[in-house]
Amino acid sequence: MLQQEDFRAQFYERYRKEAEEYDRDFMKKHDEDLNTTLIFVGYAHSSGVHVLTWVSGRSVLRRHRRLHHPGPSSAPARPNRRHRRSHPSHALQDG
Amino acid sequence: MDNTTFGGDIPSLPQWTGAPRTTIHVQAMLYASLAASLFSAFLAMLGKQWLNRYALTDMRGTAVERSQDRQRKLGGIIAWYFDHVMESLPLMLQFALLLLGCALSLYLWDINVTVAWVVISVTALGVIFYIFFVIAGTASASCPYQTPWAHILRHIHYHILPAILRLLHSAFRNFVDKSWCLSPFKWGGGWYGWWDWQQTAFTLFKHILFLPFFLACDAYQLIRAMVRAFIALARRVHSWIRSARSAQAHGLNQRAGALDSQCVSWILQTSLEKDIRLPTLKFLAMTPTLVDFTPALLSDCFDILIDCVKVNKYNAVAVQGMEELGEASATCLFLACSHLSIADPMTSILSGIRQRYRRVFPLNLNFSGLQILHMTHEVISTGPGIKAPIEWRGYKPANHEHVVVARAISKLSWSEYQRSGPGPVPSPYLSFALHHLSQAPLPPPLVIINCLLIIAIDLGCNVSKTMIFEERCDHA
Repeated sequence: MLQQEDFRAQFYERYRKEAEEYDRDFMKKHDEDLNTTLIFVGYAHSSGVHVLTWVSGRSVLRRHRRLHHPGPSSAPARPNRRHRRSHPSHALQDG
Repeated sequence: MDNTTFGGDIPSLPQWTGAPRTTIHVQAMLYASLAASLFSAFLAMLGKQWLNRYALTDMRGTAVERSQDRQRKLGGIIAWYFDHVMESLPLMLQFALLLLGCALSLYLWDINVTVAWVVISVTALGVIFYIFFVIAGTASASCPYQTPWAHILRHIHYHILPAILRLLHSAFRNFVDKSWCLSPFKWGGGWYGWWDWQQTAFTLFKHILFLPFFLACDAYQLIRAMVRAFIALARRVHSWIRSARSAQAHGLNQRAGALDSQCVSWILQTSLEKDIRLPTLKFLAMTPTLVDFTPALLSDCFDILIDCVKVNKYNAVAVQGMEELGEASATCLFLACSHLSIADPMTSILSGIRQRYRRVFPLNLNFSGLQILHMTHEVISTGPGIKAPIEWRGYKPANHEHVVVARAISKLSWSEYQRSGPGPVPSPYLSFALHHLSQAPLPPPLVIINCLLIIAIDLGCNVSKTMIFEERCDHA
């Protein structure tokens, strides 16, 4: 029985060394992958926020422009023009 | 009501003063992209925490307990598909990037078509490249441009699709065999050939007359075949889930014996060095009970055995320099297979290893000087009741290996006695006992006890189970 315990202790000593080496590689691989992901998320997030701010700002500007300068030049042009043509007030004015 | 009703004021309908529809779509896509990238950042952060937790030694104890704790954590990582979850993070980011490209293209299209085309072409180029990488990675496993999608698609192509096609094919064959509409066109089903045109014409006429009835029958048959194929598919998925769950349970078994065997299996799979594999196999051979051993151990031992033994026509020869490793792996394989063939002879693990074994080693093989491999071969090929004579002369294992092999053989003799009643035990077992009892320096006492038990079983004595299965180390 003593012999078996000896074998067991020797085996686990070898196991510990192998496990340390394996775990170091395992951690390094995943850590690098996660770092890459986080760096990429940083860039994607900042560019996304930038574009979003730009889009929102423009839409606000558009709305203001349409409110203050209502006319054929205000965007979006096509639906408005069609709408205006069928608008009862224009029909009344034309009439 | 006329133009003067409102006193000159022109009533106007309330107008939508919010952002245009395109802007709303664009913003929705951009917010989705942002959310996806933030979510992947959140998962990445959690992943870092999980990794740190894995690396942390959060318990005090002996080196063995710490190693077992580490193996338990690694088992969890494999059983809970940690690698796959970590691999899916970039997928989410790629999706976020695609959304960003689409939103930008859509938005710029409204402002300036030329600028929009630039963004669209760059996005399309990226998508085309990605699709190319996925296709190339799926088509060839050796292609360096591997993506998670390629793994998924390859799995579907090689495992799931053929199974579904096989099921559909068998369902279709069944349908064609039983189809009434197609019966005149099948040999023996009313088709008498052009030379017997009267008979053929009569059959066809009959067929056309009853066509609606036949069509209804065929529709019923088709639906039945499809339902059966669907049930077979569901059964297969169910059995797959069950096997995956049992494998997970094996991986998460936390009893000390199970953890030992998991550690052994892990080290045999990870290390290719002979200096590590040989002592590991010797430790495995010393393990007193193989009750909790992982099924993966069988294939690990078998893989090592294949590396150490080559087959020259009808002779099995050990590869030079690998004799000891080959013998150790054969001993472990023999112990595990003999244990399984007694404990659970119908297990799928044993049948799986038997199939692999037959593919590598032909049936009538000459094992000169590789007695334990011969024994393994017989146990795997024919089960416990083997008949082939084995020449034990020259078999000189180390003491502890000798003991475990003798114990395994006495167990096999006893199970054979239980199976087929009193009578002579298979000749290899008896020759093992007689040979080792006639050796000039006698083998260790435990070997002698086991040899005597084998002879007792051969003589028809009623040997009790406890005498065979209890650990007799104290008697030594």
